Amino acid sequence: MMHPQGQQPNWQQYEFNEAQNAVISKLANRMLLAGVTQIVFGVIDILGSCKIQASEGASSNGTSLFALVLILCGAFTISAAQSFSKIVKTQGWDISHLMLALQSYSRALLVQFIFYVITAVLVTLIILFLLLMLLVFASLFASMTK
Amino acid sequence: MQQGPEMLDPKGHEYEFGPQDNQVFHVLAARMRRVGVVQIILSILQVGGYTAGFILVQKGAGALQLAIEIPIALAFLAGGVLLLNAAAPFRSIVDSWGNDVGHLMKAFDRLSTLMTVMIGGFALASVLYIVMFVVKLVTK
Repeated sequence: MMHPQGQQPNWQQYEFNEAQNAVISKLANRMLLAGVTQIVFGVIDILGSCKIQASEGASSNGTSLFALVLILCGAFTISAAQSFSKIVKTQGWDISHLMLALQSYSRALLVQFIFYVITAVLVTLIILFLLLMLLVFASLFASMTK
Repeated sequence: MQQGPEMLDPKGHEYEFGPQDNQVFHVLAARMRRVGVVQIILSILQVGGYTAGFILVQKGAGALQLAIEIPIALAFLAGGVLLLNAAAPFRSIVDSWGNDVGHLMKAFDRLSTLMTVMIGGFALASVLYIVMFVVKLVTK
C-alpha cells in the first residue's frame, strides 16, 4: 500500500488498539460535524448579509470575510476528520494519518490566528484614526473659540 | 480494511514519538494556545462591547441583536478556554517521556469536548442568525 502522501514514510509506524481507536473515532465524527456546521454557518452568514445588503443597499461590513475564514477553517477541520477516520479504518499507517490530521487542524488554527491578527491591526488603525480626527477637530474648535 | 506494511509496536503504551512528530505537536500546541488566548480576549471584549452599546448607545433598544450576539460570544469564550485546555496534553507529549500515547488520548478527549461545544455553538448561531435575518427583512 502507498503511503498516505504518496511517498516513503518518514514516521515510524504504530498501530492504535481498539480502545484508542474508539477515542479517535469519536473525535473524527465530532470534527466532521464541527467542520460541516462551521461551513453551514459561514454560508448562512454570507447569504444573509447579501440579502440584507441587497434590500438595504448597504455596503459590505466585514462579516463576509469572517464567514470566508470560517468556511476555510471548516474545510481544514473536515480534512483533519477524514485523516483521523483513516487511522481507525486502515492498518499500517496510523502515525502518518495522525500527523496529516494534526497538520490539517494546525492549518485551520493558523488561518484563524492570521484573521484575528489582521482584525486586531485594522481595529487598532481605525481607533487611532478616530483619535487623530478627534484631536484635529478639538484643536480646530479651540483655535476658533480664541 | 486496507492493509499496509507492518511496523507495529506490540507495547503500545510505551510508544514514544520522534523529534519530527514532536515538532508537529509543538507547533499545534503553540497555535492552539495562541488562538485560545486571542479568542478569550476577543469574546470578553465582545460581551463588554455589546452590553455597553446596548445600555449606553442604544438605550435599551436592539435587545434581539444582544440576545443573539451574547450567546455566540459566550460559546466563543468557552471554545477559547477548551482550546487552551486541549493544548496542554499536546505540549506534554513534547515535554515528557514515557506516556506519549496516554497524553495523546487525553488531548483527543479534550479536543472532542471542544468539537461538541463548536457543533452546539455553530448550530445555535446558525438558527439565531436565520431568525435575525428574517426579523430584519420583515421589519424593513
